[in-house]
Amino acid sequence: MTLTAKQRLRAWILEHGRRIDDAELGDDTPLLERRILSSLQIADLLLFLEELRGKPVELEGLTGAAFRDLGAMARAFLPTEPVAEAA
Amino acid sequence: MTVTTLSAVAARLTDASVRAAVATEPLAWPAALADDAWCMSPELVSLYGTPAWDALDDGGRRRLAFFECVNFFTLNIHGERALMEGIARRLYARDLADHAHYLHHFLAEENQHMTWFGGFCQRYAGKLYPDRKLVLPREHAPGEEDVLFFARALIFELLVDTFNRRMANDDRLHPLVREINRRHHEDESRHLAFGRLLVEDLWRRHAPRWNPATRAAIPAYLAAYLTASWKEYYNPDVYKDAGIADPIRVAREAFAAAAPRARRADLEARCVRVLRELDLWPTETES
Repeated sequence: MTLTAKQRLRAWILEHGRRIDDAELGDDTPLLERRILSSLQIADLLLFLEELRGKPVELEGLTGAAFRDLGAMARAFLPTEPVAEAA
Repeated sequence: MTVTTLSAVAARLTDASVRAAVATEPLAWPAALADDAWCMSPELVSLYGTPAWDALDDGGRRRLAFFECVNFFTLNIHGERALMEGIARRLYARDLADHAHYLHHFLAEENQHMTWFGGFCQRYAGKLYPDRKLVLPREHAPGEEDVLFFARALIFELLVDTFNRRMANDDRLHPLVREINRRHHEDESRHLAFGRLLVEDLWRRHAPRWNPATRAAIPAYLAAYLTASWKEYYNPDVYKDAGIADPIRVAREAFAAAAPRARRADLEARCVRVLRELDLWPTETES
């Protein structure tokens, strides 16, 4: 099964962040507030995002807001994925 | 460590800083560096001992060593900039007011170091590498932020100083690179003496007032900080500039490889010993 960039990002957070149940991690789970991610993981995370995007992340002016939750990260860093049309 | 002892050391270091400032000649900057100049000791290059290193010819290794040097100097700039910001914010704060006079010298020296590192990077590479660190705000116990700030600075300085000492004495390196490393080591010896005493003083003074969980988290955090610092030495941007394919994968594999791991253990030994002496390194049961 091919994972989307956002699913791969979600899997990265589950693997590298502070332990959290798979079912608990939603688009709006506050990753920084709950300290699932810390400052020390940001550099690794940025490299992973660059790998997913296939291009560098613009670092100047970057703030914690972009890492607030999975949804914010996907909007800030990942290419827009096609949305399935309603039947 | 009492405040009086720390103040006495700060006064002695201030005198040494004044003497060093008078004796320091401006650096001589050549218009260009020869293509075949070694700018980083080969054994300190992040990929040394990995298949990616073995695949390079001599010219490729020297080219990689040049960009590793630019990365090393860039890391110094990012680290010293954060240090200067933090110290400037704390100048004349209650805990540090007694040492403000030395901190002014400390700041002046850090600023001068940045002119050396920045001068090299801009002249010969035309750039610095971007900083991928981001400090996310969080709540701290009273004094905890200061302990963490100065302990991080101590780790950063101990690590770079180990590189500085080795490269200052490596006669294969370009004379300018050796000289920058030598000068930096000389100044950092004073900063490290002060920083170690200050961390000890702040830790002993503040930690007993914290709850056990906060206190116990500090050594684990600092060990993780050391690992995160090391990852910056495996910079995919460097590998890309050196013409190495798939640089992010190369960085990940090199970091995990046996030879670089053994090298890191050797290079960080002094840092770990200092942290252990200060009770700031995880015990066997914590790690």
